[in-house]
Amino acid sequence: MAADLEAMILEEGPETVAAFIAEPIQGAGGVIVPPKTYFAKIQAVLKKYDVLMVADEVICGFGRTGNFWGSETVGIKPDILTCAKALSASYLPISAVMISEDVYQPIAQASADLGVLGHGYTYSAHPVCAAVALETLKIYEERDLLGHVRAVSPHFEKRLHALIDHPLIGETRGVGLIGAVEIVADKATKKPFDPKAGAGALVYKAAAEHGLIVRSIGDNIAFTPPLIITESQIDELFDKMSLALDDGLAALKKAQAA
Amino acid sequence: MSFQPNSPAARDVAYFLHPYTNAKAHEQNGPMIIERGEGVYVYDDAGKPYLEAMAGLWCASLGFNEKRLVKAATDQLNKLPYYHTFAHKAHLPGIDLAEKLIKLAPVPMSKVFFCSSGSEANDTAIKLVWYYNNARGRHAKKKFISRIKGYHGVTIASASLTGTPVNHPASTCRSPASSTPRTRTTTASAWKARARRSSRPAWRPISRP
Repeated sequence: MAADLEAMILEEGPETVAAFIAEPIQGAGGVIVPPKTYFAKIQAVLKKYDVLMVADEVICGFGRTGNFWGSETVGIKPDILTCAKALSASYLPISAVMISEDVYQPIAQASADLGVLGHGYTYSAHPVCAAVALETLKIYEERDLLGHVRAVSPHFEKRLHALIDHPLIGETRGVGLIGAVEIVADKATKKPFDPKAGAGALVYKAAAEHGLIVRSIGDNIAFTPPLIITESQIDELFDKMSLALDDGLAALKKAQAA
Repeated sequence: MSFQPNSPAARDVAYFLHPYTNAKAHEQNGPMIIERGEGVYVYDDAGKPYLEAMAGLWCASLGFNEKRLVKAATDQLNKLPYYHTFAHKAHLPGIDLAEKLIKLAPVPMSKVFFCSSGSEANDTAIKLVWYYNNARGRHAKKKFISRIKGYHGVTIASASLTGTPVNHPASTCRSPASSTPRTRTTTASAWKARARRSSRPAWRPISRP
């Protein structure tokens, strides 16, 4: 894959390629965990062609993957880092862009030459949002939320990966407290259902009936519970998910028979 | 489905265009109205509890009734409910948060720029990278590479980084940054070829200056 990237940079012309952006673990794309050496190889190519690494920590930041940053989990050394969501536990909207000294210096000089950095929002660092974010970070530290995630995530991962035994599930993926399962029509070949069958949506609906809110991404079902979730609540989550999968299987069989 | 006249569901269907929602299905089925939260649970308007296994949108890390955050917001609302940070203005919550984030960063970082959403943050990252390369005299060095199935937001520029087909319907989102013919072709064919191979992120160039 690093070779693909290098070929693309060369094809585009390295003098035109400014940055590479990635989530440490792809979230809304279906919870895709990279291979262990993936980002080390990617970043070697980026460095060679003076291409900045931007880590999108909007989902992974603040403990989700079992480290404070997803970048630590997958070995990203970002020049720029973006974060939001768990920054304020989402009680109020706030996000942040962190930049390295090497990125900052030319920007600062240009703002001096031009007289101003011509960028900013009415709500940049809104004081109420910032106060809530600060308190959120304090709570993470005082309650050792990262320690809690590390304590409960083996159980989460165990229950997540155990769903592979269900007839509908062809793949399970996850790390820390982020996970997904992929619904397939045929376990052996991992053949997907016809999208018209709406398998993911069926399971999503069945889960809601059992009192469980999940996310269906096509025929993937994703889980990212609040980081405060306990082991017994993790059991409740996956017990309900199993029931939803049973219901989904029954509905899909019925539809196939009809 | 017909809704009770003037019920919240009827008024929702009448007035509210929902993000990431099938608008026609919504007219038929109406909303799921969530009324309150407690820990990892939320409750709908009939009082039914749901274990919120997505923390909302991958985000409500502390669950749905953390009183300390209510107090932090209330205290700040009473003290200084709004001020901006343009033109050298500052306030303590902003200063403290910037310092805290730099200290928590996974690698040495220098400065923090604040926005209100992940989309805005990634939009700002694009702008700062362009600004940075303009400042270095590298005016052609503007392209971003993102990945198939990557998700970086929905504002026009950040959506051009997002690699999920639903965010690029052919009829919309032809931003100057993402719509040069060649990029569009590359992107479309890459999706067709690779859409089903979910575990193998692929590359695509975007955001030409």
